[in-house]
Amino acid sequence: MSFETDPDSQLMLRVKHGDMDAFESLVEKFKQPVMGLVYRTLRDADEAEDIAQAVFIQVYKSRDRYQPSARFSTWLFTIARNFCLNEIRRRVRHPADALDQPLNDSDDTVGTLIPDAAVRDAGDLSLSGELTQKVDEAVRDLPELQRTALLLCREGDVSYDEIAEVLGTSLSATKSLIHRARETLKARLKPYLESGTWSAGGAKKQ
Amino acid sequence: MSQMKNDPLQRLRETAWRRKLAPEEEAELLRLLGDDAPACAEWEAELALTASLSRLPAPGVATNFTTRVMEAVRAGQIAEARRPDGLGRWWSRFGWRPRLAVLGGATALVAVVVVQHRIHVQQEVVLGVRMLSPAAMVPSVEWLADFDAIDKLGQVAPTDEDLLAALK
Repeated sequence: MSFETDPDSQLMLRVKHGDMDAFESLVEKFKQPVMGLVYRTLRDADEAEDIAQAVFIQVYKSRDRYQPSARFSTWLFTIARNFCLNEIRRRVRHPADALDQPLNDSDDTVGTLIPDAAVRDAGDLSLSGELTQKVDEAVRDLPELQRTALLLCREGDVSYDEIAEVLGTSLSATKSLIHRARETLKARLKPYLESGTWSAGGAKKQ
Repeated sequence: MSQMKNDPLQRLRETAWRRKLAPEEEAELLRLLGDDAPACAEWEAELALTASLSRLPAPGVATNFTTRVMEAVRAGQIAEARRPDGLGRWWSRFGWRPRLAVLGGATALVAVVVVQHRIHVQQEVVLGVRMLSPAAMVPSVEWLADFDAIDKLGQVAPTDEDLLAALK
């Protein structure tokens, strides 16, 4: 799908012209994938939610600069990744700081004014089984580039070219990153593989 | 990786990383794998990993996530509307001390320019006077009032031959 026919790019162009409903549609559609990427990068659900909200606010702030030269999701994931990297850098510089401080001048309204009707219990994020937990941990321990490439690859809607654009790497380098990430995961999860814990069907079962 | 590029099995693997293979792709896969047990095991691991990754639970998103984003955006819009536009916004980013310093500097600069301009004008006047001073060497007009009479003083009258003859 080219950016010209990308419905999300069309929505973003409407946002550029002040259409708040279009922006709300984009937030609604992409909140889960953005949250997923941020959560698995930062490893903290509360921080992830704050960062994910900041990502969308940044999207709105940058609406005048948006050029539909690529699909909207590519632009969005690039912003999300940059936010994650900035947060990681901030943590390295100020390891004792909590994220309850606003990220910038306008973020003070995020997460403070409106009570959540269904506040997420920490238990909601607990993983269902040991294997899933092991996979989750293994994914989190991957180097950032490999992890981001793998997670974006998991989003079926994002092409390899788009992942390459988000990461700022070549197409072949992107595929190599995913390949290496998967090899690492397979090596780390080998005991589960050999014990038959994996429930996916084999090639011959397809 | 360059070897992988042209490898049909790698192409199918990359496809399977993102989506379920189509029936014709599965047929091609079975043909490529054949009875190669290690390759079959490898493929099984690939599929198992893909399945496990797809089963990773999505992190919960607060039910009011969108509402909060929209509220924050609207609050930002209001704050933006209150701010001065363009140059005023840029100017208001600075504190009062830098602004005062810049204003003081600008005033001093203007004062220096004005003073320099005045000095320049005075120098121009002096230069003009100097250019006119040679004209001051010319005699005054009053002196020239008796010019004709004085001029005639030096003239000798023609000799009166008749008078000279009579005197003799």
